[in-house]
This record gives sequence, C-alpha cells and structure tokens, in this order.
Amino acid sequence: MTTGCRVRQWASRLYSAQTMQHVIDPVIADLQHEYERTKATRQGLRAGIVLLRGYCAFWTVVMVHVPAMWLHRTIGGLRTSHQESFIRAVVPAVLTMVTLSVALVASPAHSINQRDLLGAWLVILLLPQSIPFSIPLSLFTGIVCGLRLRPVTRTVRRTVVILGLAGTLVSAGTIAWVVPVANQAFRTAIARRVLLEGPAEMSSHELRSHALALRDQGRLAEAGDLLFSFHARWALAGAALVFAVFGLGVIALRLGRVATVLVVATACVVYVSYFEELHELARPRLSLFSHEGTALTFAWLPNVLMLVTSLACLTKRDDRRVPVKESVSRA
Amino acid sequence: MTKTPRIPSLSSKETLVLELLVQQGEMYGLQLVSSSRRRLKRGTVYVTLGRMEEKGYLRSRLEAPPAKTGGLPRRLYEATALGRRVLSAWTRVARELLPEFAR
Repeated sequence: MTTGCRVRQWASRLYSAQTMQHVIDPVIADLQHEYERTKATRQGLRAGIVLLRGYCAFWTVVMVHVPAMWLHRTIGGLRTSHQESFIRAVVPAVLTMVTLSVALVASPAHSINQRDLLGAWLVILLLPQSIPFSIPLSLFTGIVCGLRLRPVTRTVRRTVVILGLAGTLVSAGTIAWVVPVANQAFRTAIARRVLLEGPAEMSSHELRSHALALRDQGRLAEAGDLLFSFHARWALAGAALVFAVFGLGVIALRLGRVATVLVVATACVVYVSYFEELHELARPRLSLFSHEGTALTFAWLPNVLMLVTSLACLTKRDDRRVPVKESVSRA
Repeated sequence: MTKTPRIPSLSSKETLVLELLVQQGEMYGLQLVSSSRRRLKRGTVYVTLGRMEEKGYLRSRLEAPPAKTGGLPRRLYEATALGRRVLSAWTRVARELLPEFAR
C-alpha cells in the first residue's frame, strides 16, 4: 500500500519523530484504512471522496494545526521560563510599533478626504511604508525593556541576533516587494486611472537602473536623489539587525531606568529624523549623491555608527568584568 | 521560587473526547470523529488527542498492522484514571456552577 507514503516521507523531514508518531501517522493510518475498506466494496467514486477527505485532513494537520501547536508550545515555554522578561519586552515593543505606525502614516493619511471603505483601504496601503522604521525600533525597545539589567549571556546574544535577522528579512521583503506595489495601488486608487510608476513605486532594481541612466544623461541632482533612496532602502532593511545589536550594547551599559528611556527615545528620534530630514538638508547638493560611494556612505552611516557604538559598549563591559581568580591574586 | 501546581482544565473538545472514551471504551481517531456527530473534525482530532496524552488524560497503543494490505497501524486511545477523575470533577463543577450548560 502506497497511499499517503510519499506525503508521510515529506512530513517526516519537517516534524520530529514524536509529532510524526502521535499526530501525522494516525492521520495517514486512518486515510489508508478508510480508503482500502471503501475500495474493497468496489465503490470507486466513494473511495475517491474518502481519499480526498483524508488528504484534506492531512494537509490541514501538517500546514495549520502542527505549526500552531508548535508556536503555542514555544510561546508557552518562553512565558514560563522568562515570564517577566517576556511581558516586559512584548508590551513596549507592541506599543512602539503601533505608535510609530500611526505617527508615520498619520500625515499622509490626513490628506485623504474619503471617509468610506476606500479611505480605509488607502490608509491600509500606506501602512507598509511605516514597517521599515517600526520593526527595528519596536525590536530595539522590546529588547532594551525586556532584558534591562540582565547579563548579556551567549544565549541572550544568540536570541537577539536571530530576532534581528528575522526582522531584517521581514523589512527587506516589505521594502523590496510590498512597499512599491502598495504605493502604486495607492496612487492608482487616488487618481482613479493607471499612472506611470514614480521612484517610490519602482522596485530596487528599476530604481538603480533609472538613477544610473539619469547620471549618464548628466542630470546629477535627480540621479543623486534616486541613488540615495536606493541605498537608504537597503540600509533601512538592515536596521532591524543593527538595532537589535544596539539594544544589546545598551543593556551591557546597565543604565538606570530614566537613562535607558532617554537613550531609547533619542536613538529612535535621531534615526527617523536622519532619513526624514537628510533629504531636505541635502537638497541643494543632491548631485553629491550621484557618486555611488557617497550615497552608500550617507545611507549606511547611522547603521555603521550604531554597530560600532554597540560593539564598543559590549567590549567595554567585558573589560570591566575581572575574572575572580585574577582579582584574588591582585589582592 | 516555588511553582504553584496547575489545576487540570478541560476544553470543550477535550471534554467531548473523554466522554466518548469513557462511554465507549478504546477508540481510534476516526471513530471518535464519527461518534461525535461532526463536533470533532478529522483535521484537529489528533492534535487534541496528542495534547491530552501529554497532559496524562489519555494513553494510546498501536493496533496490530493490517496483515493483507500493509500500511501504518492505527493508534487506539483510552482514558486514564486521571482523565476519568478530571472529567468527573469537571462535569460536577460545570453542573453546579452552570446548571443550564450541564449535559
């Protein structure tokens, strides 16, 4: 009997032996028995329906219920092992994400005159724009608030770096695919006709090609503007990892509550302002950014500075830790 | 810090599974689905059964693999003593606190 054997083999690569034994195998066993029993009664159509229902049950279990069970257990485990840290991290992170999203979307949303379903849809289309800022900053706030005054152990470092990498992947995906499409949909919905894509609606590849073409035509200011936007997109995508590491640096300093809040608020305001205001400040000299190196440097400058500062904080903290044996021999 | 022991709890699906197993004895997943009159789904029953087994309310064993056709052996479930006690306590509490919902 080969019914369900191939899908079982596939599932065994994804799930542990215990999950296979207690959840997946019984589903396949039921599928095989029911199918064989119906086939033996020579009811072809009914056997087909049984097979279809069995496979539906299998895919529901594999794709929905087992991942949900795993997620439930992981979160439950985190909650019971580090309940206090978990709550202290999640609440500020969610609050920061919501506040930032609302703040960044509020200004363009205010200009929408529609107060109907279309208006709500337009606000939803604006939301992806806030994600490249809200993910790193909420991650940073969560890490700093949740792990404040805790030792930066190897497990903490590894968890924070994994969270940062996950945030970076989500940001990069949003910037690369979601934001251009959402922006174009927003413009089309407002204008009620198909419009040509502007720089904010172009994919990263199109943006760079367009910038280089403009530079070749000698339109340096426009080329600089676009090249900076191109590099800023990727710098913002990397910001989640940078802010996660920066959070570790801040924890390593073991600051008081007020100082921590000040550092978090300052970092968030400075970072958002840098990307929001630099463009305006550099407007008279945008041609400078037509050199790839200059655009890249200015776009990545905050990330690099924050990484260097974080590493310095982490190293300095390590220097301060004098091994017990050494301190005894010194005495 | 000492952990306070968790009070055993039952969801509506878990209660139904335990009731069926107590009433009808050892059953496998698909039998539970058909006996529940569509209140249990094929896609969720084994996740529920797995969770209940972890909690100690059920125990399972594999039946002998079918001789003719081959294939995987089915898993049979039965209620444990703890499962029966929890069900009886749960039913009693439900009957006293919420008589309108008591079966």
